[in-house]
Order: sequence, then structure tokens, then C-alpha cells
Amino acid sequence: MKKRNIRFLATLLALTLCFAFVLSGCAEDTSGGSGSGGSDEKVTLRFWHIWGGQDANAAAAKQVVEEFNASHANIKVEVETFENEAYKTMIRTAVSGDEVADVFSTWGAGFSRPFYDAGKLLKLDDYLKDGTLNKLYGGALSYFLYDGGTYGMTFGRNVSGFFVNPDVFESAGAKVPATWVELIDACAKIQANGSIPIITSSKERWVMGMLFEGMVTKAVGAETVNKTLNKEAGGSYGDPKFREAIDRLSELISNGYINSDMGAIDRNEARESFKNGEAGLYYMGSWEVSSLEEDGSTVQGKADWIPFPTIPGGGGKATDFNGGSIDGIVVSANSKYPEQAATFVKYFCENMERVGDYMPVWNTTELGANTPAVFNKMIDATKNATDYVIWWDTFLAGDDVTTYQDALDNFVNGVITADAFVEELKKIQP
Amino acid sequence: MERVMKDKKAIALFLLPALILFTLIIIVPLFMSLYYSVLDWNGIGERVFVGFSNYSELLADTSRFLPAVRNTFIFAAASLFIQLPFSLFLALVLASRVKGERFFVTVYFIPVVLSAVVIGQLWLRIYYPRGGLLNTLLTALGWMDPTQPKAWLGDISSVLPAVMVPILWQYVGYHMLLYYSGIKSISPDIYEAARIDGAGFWQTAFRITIPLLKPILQVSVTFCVVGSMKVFDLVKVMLSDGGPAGAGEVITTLMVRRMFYPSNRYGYGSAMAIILIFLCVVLYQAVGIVFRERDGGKERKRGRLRG
Repeated sequence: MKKRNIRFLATLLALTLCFAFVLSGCAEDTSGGSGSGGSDEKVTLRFWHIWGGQDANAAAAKQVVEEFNASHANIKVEVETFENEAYKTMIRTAVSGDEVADVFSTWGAGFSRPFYDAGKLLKLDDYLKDGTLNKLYGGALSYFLYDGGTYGMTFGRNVSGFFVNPDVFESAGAKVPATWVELIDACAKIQANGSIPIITSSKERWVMGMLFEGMVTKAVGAETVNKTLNKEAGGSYGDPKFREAIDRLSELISNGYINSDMGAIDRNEARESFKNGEAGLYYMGSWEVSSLEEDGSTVQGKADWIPFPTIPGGGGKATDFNGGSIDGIVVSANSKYPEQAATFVKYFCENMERVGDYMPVWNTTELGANTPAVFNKMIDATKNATDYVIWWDTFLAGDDVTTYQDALDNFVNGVITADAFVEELKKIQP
Repeated sequence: MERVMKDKKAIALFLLPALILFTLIIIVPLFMSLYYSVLDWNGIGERVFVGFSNYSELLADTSRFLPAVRNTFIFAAASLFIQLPFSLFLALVLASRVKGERFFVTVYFIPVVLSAVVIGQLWLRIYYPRGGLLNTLLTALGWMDPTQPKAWLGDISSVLPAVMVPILWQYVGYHMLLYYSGIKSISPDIYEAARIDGAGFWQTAFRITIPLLKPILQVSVTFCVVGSMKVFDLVKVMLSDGGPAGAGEVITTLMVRRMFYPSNRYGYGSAMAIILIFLCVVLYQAVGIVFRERDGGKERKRGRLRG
């Protein structure tokens, strides 16, 4: 009797284990389901994006979706928003588990490449033949092209550069710099006057990264940098001009021209400090404009903008910029309503730009009369752009981003030398 | 009722739901991680079997992983040798009929129920280099040059202790409550006898309370050591990307950044998870062994299940 009970228990345990394995295996396959989307039935599209909460574009995204729902009787878009950094982790899990929404926001180039490689994105080319392509400036979709196909759309362009607080410059008697020599001169004067010349954050790696990348573009030249990032012939991190950019970064840090507490403050704190008038220059992307224009900001209505100054003997032209159209939205290959989803993507991208905080990529966009002066300044400055380099952390993929960011962070904290930094960067190359 | 309790099948049947859940939530993922850890896999694409190369790469990573392991062990040691003695002292004092005993217990326990994000934000304000509480205090005391404020979380030498303090502070109340309730459950007769024999506060503490508290101590030390291995939330909130040159990185924070954004090395991250589980199990066993030896190791050896 007793023995039988034990055997019974043991069998039960074993069965449970098997059962559990089978069940967990099943869970992955059941989410697909089947649906029949008749053309006049009302369909519901799920849309995940990151423009919610405190984001500068939250109001714009909400408005565009509401307008879409009002003007399309047969399609209803349901939105769920996520916090930017958490989303970068979460979206991968969702895509790999086929649990992602019909339409979701993502970043082009390296970030979405794994999605494309795994066949999780819908090819949009057929849906764009209705004249949509003619409404876009050339190259606008280049970061969403994979092997010649278009897999995502974008609603605007971003560019990074120095935001300038003219009051700080004026009281220090400094001139807004166009060249490296002028930059150093301005930094010295601002520092002597008791303000922070350049404010940034190395606590958040990408923020320091943007400043460094701006410098590299001017020291090396956009064309060569792009070749290097692309791992093509003609570009190499071993190029002495990369080393020169690193040395110049070192010059800014060792002279104290960059805030010494950069490792302890995050991007928001750096920006707030700039808005409080504590710093002369703040290197960031164009998305920061609406925050700088908020009430209570000391630079409201008067912030100036310059690209990174040219570097003597550097390979970069004054018209080489950092930025591009990397933010976008894509359609899941598993969406039951690809046609409706594509319709929404086109509508959203074209209209988001009208109300949002991005620089135009659609030639149909007209900027409102109340566009901030600094925004117009950026648009003017980039009109004659010769070339762009996108932010490295979005262009590079996977472990290359880690290699680059860890090396830069180690370097700015004085843990590794400039030579070691170059050696680390070389590891990115195949 | 008695008949039901004697029926082994009935017992098994009632245990089944919990067993299924346990297997699904803990055992299955564990084996899946073990499987992922021998893959070169980005989480979405092709899975390539690479054997133990993830592990050998980890154990050779002197720039990030091994320092993260070292930092994690520093956390554990600090918890063990600073946090627990302090909690025990508080519990001893509070349990010796202090005025407003209940009130103090509640006060010390409050940090435990606060969310890590709240505590993280609070301490970020304290450490804030420009006019944060700590720098203001140090300046007022004349111990710091106001023109050269210290960036506590931005400095390689100070980041680890600075992150450790809030974590130790947060869980003092938790361990204190464990000890406090343990002390309260010791029969007052023993204390009375001690007092009659003329034992003072310290004598009572070391000769009576602490020896009788041993089972609770074991629980608390286990929680403390294993908990330190898994420390994550406050470090993440306070340091975002692992601190300057990764000086504040612990195993869990590094694991998340390697497994998901930006590295996307699911297999490599899983190998880290397996190492973490291994460390937790080993330390758990070690704590058990240490306490058993102190017990003389006789009466308990029998019938104790390993694992």
C-alpha cells in the first residue's frame, strides 16, 4: 500500500513536469490565431509607440490618432504608449514572441535590422506606389530600407548640434563659435566668467556619445565616418583623424570646459541646467526645442543653434551634420490587416510632422507661423547639408553599440588612454 | 477531515495546482535559460549552438563582468557586516521595552514598503552635486570647498559606497522587524531569570537573546546574502547605465544591458543568469552549513533536505 502511494506520487510529479513543458511550449504558438478581415467590417488596429507621458511629441501623436479615427469610419486605432528606454528592451521581446501590436514605433538602421532578418516586418513598397513617395524628400526613408525594400516610414528628421544661450555668451564677452579655435576661446571666456561652457551627461551614455560623434563628424568628415560605420572600404577607426577627435574631446574635459559632474547628472538635469542659464552650450538633438521653449526657461524665444564647429585640418565640412530620419513606425508581418495598417502608417507619418516637433521630410508640410526661431534656424542651417551621420548607437547593431559606449565611457572617465580607445573601436570592424 | 489527510492521493491532488505553477514559473524557465546560455542568439533570429563559449568569455571579461561580480560581493559583505549588526542592535534596543516601541518599529520599517524608484529619486536628490543635501551639509560644516562640489555618483571612487548606502538603509527595517518579532517570541521567564541573576543589557543580549535567535538569524542572513546577489532596482534607478566606467555595475544590471538593449546577446545574458543562480545556490548552502556547524550539527542533520 505504502509503496504504491509513493510510486503514484512519483508518477504524478513526472507527469506534471511533462505537462508543464508541453504547456509552456504551446503558449508560444497559440497567439497567432486566425481572422477574416472583410473590407467593410470595422477593424481595430493596435498601435504601440513611445510618444506618451512627458514626451515632447505626446500631444501631437494623440491628436493625429484622434483625427485618423474620426476620418476613417472603418478603422479604429487603439494606442498604448511606453517609456522610451524600457521600450527598447520590451519591444524586442514582444516582436520575438509575435505578441507585438499591428503598428509600432521603432528606430531604423541597426536597431530594426534583427526584426527584418527574422521576417517580422511587413514590406511596405506596394502600399507606397499611390504617390506617397513623391511627397517625401529624397533619402527620407533610407534608414528603413533593408535589401532594397521599404519596411518602415518616418515623419521627420532630427539633427543634433549646440544649443546656445546668448545671455551667457554676452556676459562673458564671447563670440558664438564657428571654428574649433573660436570654440576654445569662447569656452575659456565663459569659464572665467563663472559659467559652465558645455553641459552634457555621461551618466547616460548616448548623451556624451552625441557630443563625441558631432566632433568626429567634423574631424573625420561625414563620408568617411559613414563608410567606417558601414564597415566599408575607405573608412577605418585607425584613421588618425579619429584619434584627433578623441584628443580634442580630451582637451575639452581636461580644461574643465565640460561640466565636471557629467557622470552624476542625467540628460534631463543637464537640460534643466541649461534652461536655468547655468551653461553656455548644450549639445543635443532638435527634439529638445519644445522643452527649451517652455515657460520658465531662461532661453525661451532666444536660444541659438550651431552645428559642431569646424576643426582645422579636419575632413568634415561645415555642412556635414549629425542626424537623420531614424525615428519611425513599422507594420508587424503578423498583422491581420496589413492594408489598413499601411493606410494608418502613411496618414500618421504625414500628419505627425505637421503638428509634431520634427524637421520636415514631407514636402507637403507647412510650418506654422509660431514655429520657434531656433527651429527655423536649424531648418535653414541644414538646407544645404552635404551629408549626414546618424547617431552611432542607433546605426550600429547589438554588441558593437556596447563596445563603442563602454570604450567612450571608460575614456571620458580616464580609465583608458586615447590609444586604448582607438583599439576598442577597431574591434567594431569585422 | 482526518480521513482526507491520511489519503496520500488526496494530498497529492491538492498539491498539484501549486506544483504545476511552480514547475511552469520556476523550473521550466530555469532549464530554458540553461539552454539559451549555450547559444549565440539575439533573441529573435537564428540560434547557433556555441557550447560553453559564452561562459568562457564571461570569466575572461575583466573590464565589466568580473568587476560586476566583485561589486556584487562587496554589496553582500556590506549587508552582512554592517546592515545586519545594525538591525540586530536596533531590535535589541527596541525590544527592551523602550518608550514608543511600536512607533519606532513602524518608522524603521517605512523604507521597506517604499518603492525603489521613490527611494532612488530621494537619494539622487541627496547626492545631487549642485546643492544636493549632502554637499550642502558638508559645505555648511566647512568640510567641503563650495566651488568644488563632489559628484558622488559620478566619481569612480565614491559611486559604489554611495549606491550601497541607500540599499543598506532601506532594508535595515526589514531585518530589524525579523529580529524584533523573534525576540518578542522568546519567553519572558528566561529574561526574568536573567535579571534575577543580575545580567545587564549586553550580557542578556549575548548570552540569551542572540543564541535563542539563531533560527531567525539564519533566515535573515540567507535573505541578506541571496538578496544582495540579486540587487537591481536601486542601482538601476540611481545609475542608469552602470555608473562612471561601469564602477557601480552589479551582475543584474550588467545582465539586463547585455541581454537586451543595447547588446541583444540573449545567450550571453542567459549565461550570466545561470552564473547568478549558481552563486545564489552556493551561498544559500554555505549559510546553511555555517549555521549547522554552530549548532553542533547533530539533531538537525537527520531529515534535512538539500536544495
